[in-house]
Amino acid sequence: MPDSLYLFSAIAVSTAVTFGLRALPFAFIAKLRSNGFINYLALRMPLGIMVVLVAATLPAGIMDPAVAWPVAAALAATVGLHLLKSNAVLSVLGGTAVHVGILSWPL
Amino acid sequence: MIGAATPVQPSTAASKWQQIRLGAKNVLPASVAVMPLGLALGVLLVRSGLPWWSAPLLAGLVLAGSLEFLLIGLLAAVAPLSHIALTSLLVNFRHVFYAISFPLHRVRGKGAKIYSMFALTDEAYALTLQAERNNYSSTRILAIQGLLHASWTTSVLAGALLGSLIPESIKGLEFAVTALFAVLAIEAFKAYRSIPVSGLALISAVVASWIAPQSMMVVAMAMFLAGLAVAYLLRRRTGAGDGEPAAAPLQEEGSNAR
Repeated sequence: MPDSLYLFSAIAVSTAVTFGLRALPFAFIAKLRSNGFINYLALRMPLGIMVVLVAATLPAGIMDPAVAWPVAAALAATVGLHLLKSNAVLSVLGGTAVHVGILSWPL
Repeated sequence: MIGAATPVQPSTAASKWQQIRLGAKNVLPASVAVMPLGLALGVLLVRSGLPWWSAPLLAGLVLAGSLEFLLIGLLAAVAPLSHIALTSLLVNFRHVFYAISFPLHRVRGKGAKIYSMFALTDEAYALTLQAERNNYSSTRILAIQGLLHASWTTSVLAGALLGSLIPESIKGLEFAVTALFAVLAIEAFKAYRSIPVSGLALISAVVASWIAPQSMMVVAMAMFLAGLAVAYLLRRRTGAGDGEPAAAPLQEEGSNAR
């Protein structure tokens, strides 16, 4: 269990980095608008970073079939719901319900 | 455009309230939409063993939903601060591009401008895309940001307080984070349909989890960025990138905002 000092420092660090990312660019707007590499990244980063985050947040021991199949079923539910309904809240809650259902009430 | 020539200058208290009400109208659907995610974040936070008071602190100060979901895991594992800084930098890097079109010049007052930059979330960016065309006042923009900020923080706190009521036998809630990123990945793919970019990210993730299982996320992101940099240099050298518009991609960011 992390202590309070650690929690305060960690939240402060994350707040400072996030604020910097939001505020600093206003000082360089003209340069940003014309920079080729920034434009190249702006187009491609959201997709790539999200794919990495999906992989990074998979549970530990994902190579074990007992861990993997509930995750695969829940991912399929999430993606399927999202392609059908395009409602982010519904997709997240639906996929999570499948995962919780399989893990909490094993057959 | 109707009314474009007459800038709104709320000077009286009455017109100020009217501007806040207009802002609230803009915000309502987004506040309702983020509420379940806020509750889920709060529940997950207490279930990960973090104290309830860290929930409003995290939500109200970091004010970046997807990063907050990731931070729960890092905080619970007492990850080094350098790791937290790097993760924040990479996950929130997209915000750098928001400055290009956010109507900060409409916000009056130094303190107000600082708050406006602080609260420049995905949702705030998306909800002020029409600010220029529809002549939003400073008060209206600040009301949109303030109300989003308040509804997010409140729902995360509510989740943290209610979270302890959920029985221990309920397992697997942490999948909400993976599901959230899967949804955001689909939305990002809709905005930029690229198999090579998805493939580069996937390969980076697999290789990183193999060579650096302890810090897989940061290593994978670094590999992905390095891959993009190489692709950009190759493209410049061969001159294949001439056809790409320079400004258009930045406007697409809005459709990508949750």
